[in-house]
Amino acid sequence: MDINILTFFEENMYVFLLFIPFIGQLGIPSGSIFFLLFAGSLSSDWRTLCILGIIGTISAILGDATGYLLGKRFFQINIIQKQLKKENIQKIYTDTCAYFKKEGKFAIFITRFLVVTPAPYLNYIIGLQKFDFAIFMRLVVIGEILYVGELLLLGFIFKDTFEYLTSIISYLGIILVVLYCMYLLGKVIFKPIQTTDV
Amino acid sequence: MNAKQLKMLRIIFIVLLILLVFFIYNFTKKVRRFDESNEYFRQPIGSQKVELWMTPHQIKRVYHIDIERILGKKIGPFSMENPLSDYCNKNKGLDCESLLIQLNSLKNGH
Repeated sequence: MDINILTFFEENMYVFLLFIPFIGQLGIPSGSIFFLLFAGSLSSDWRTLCILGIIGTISAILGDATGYLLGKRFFQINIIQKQLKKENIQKIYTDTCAYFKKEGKFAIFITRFLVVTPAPYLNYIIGLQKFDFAIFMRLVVIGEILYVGELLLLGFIFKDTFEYLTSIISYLGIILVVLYCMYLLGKVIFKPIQTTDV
Repeated sequence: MNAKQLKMLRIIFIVLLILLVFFIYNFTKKVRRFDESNEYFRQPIGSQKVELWMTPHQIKRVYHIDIERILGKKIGPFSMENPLSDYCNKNKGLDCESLLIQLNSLKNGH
């Protein structure tokens, strides 16, 4: 059976957009960026674009919320609770909780639409950290509107060349993540040596 | 933090730096390809020709040619970025030059 997935997507675009962003936000590779760009390129007018935007955004938000709730549920499993009682793991958990309390809002927001690669995994960690759900959802809603909107719009504008945008956007996300990791490492490695006067 | 841990962090930093250079190189290559494609497709369609750097999906969409029938295979989402040259290089029975002539005559026929 020779199924052309692209033709199938073209014919069932609305249904696909109900599921693909949702699955993508759970961390399952679903080609979410590609299909959103493709959907944008297939849109013939602003009305279609808006409808696709609403469907895609709702799907992505539900995916994020599910990831968060799964992370939170995972925290309650007995094995995890036992592990958290160990001193070294307890310290890592407390440190990351403090980190996310300080930087979490920015991290959640920026991973929705700019550095999209770690977004699904961050949802689980955020849930595990028991980050405030209301704040999480507010940031997610704004971020996903921007994410789905930007991809659909890019696909709509660059109908003939959108193929290249999937890897461009993915590379951009990876580059920013690597730069951020280097920044964190750099703060430790290149920390000025403090000298004390005798 | 002891000297051994600091050494390990420095090694990780260098590895990340190498990865960063690699990703930036690929990123700029993709951006250049994207920019050149946009520039090319902005020209009047009469002055455009089917080229080997174009993707099959671009050829299908811009020139309305049934490229999948000509290549004898379906183009999936994960190979959409592959240029036409990949398809005539991989299949030894498909010569790139005659493929271009065929596609350009089909394009001019529209």
